[in-house]
Amino acid sequence: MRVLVVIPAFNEEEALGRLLVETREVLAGASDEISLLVVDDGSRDRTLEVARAAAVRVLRLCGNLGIGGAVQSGLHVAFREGFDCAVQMDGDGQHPPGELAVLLAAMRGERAPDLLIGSRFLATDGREGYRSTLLRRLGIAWLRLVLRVVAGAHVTDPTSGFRVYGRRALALFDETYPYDFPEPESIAVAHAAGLVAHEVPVRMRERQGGRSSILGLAAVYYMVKVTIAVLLAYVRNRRRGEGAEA
Amino acid sequence: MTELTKYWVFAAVCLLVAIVLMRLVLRERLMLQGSLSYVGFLTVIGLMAVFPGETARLAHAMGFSLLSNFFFSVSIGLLALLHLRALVTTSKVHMRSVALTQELAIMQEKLDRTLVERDVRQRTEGASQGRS
Repeated sequence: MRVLVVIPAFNEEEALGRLLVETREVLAGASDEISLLVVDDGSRDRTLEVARAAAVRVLRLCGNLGIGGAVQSGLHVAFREGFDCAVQMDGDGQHPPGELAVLLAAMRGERAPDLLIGSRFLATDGREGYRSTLLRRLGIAWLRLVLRVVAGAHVTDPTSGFRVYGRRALALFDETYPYDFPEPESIAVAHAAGLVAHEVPVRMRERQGGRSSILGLAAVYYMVKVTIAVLLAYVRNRRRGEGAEA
Repeated sequence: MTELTKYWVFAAVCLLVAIVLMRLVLRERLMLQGSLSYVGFLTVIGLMAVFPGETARLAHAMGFSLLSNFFFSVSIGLLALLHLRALVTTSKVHMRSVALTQELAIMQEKLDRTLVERDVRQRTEGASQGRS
């Protein structure tokens, strides 16, 4: 299986170097053909130099597009270069490279989903589940409800950015991908387009550097914006799907 | 000063703004396509100032008892339309700029890799020629 690991990074000079070294070590014995692609989202720090020093492929965006634009750039590459799937992994070190094996194992076989989401809330085999702040947990619970009611999607971790896109998802997201706060919206888009989405339990860590952009008032804006965006994305893509069928 | 003369000042301001707009178009700092709707807006409120009697009759026919209410309603409505149009244009430009930024990055990466591969090939060829 040819896999492209897409790592969007914005001002992640602190965490990116360690993450790339760790990922390389984990992937050293992998049977799949795996390439790493860092998408530098117009960083103002040394993210670009850190990525280049690690001798991985680097896409340098000349302006800051936000997480959606950065991820989609990587998905464009994966789709056009014929990769079987693309893994999205945050550049802040929250997603342990050791969990890549769990995700890729679930993408093998004929019943592989189109979109596989690594969930930090599906703790199994005695592994410790992820602890988050109360406010964040409430927000996630709300998004779960919105996705279930609007798109009929049953996901435990709608904001997880640790995910795998199969060929059908790559084709869809090559065409359209939400720009800011894209994770919940992209699940609605995938469901509306008739893609199969699954979840697998993964461990996640605290971010290894940088700071979250969703704090204070931005969190309120995030919830309102994402709720409306999920609704609109679902309606828009249902229409598109119906148009294609007709 | 007659009522007509008082309103003419406003019409003159509208004309002045329209002239500034046209100068910007001539200097290619504004596109004609985008500014025509703005000229249309200035024309409408300018005509309302030049023909206050007709405007008052129209306002009363539409149920406005005060001419100023009619004027503000029309102006706000037209400005809202102009703003909506500007929002549509800005969104389109934003989406295009995202796509262009992505394409540029992808092409740049391809070019960088091609150049590196060419350097490696040249060095390998140079080394093998040196040996022979």
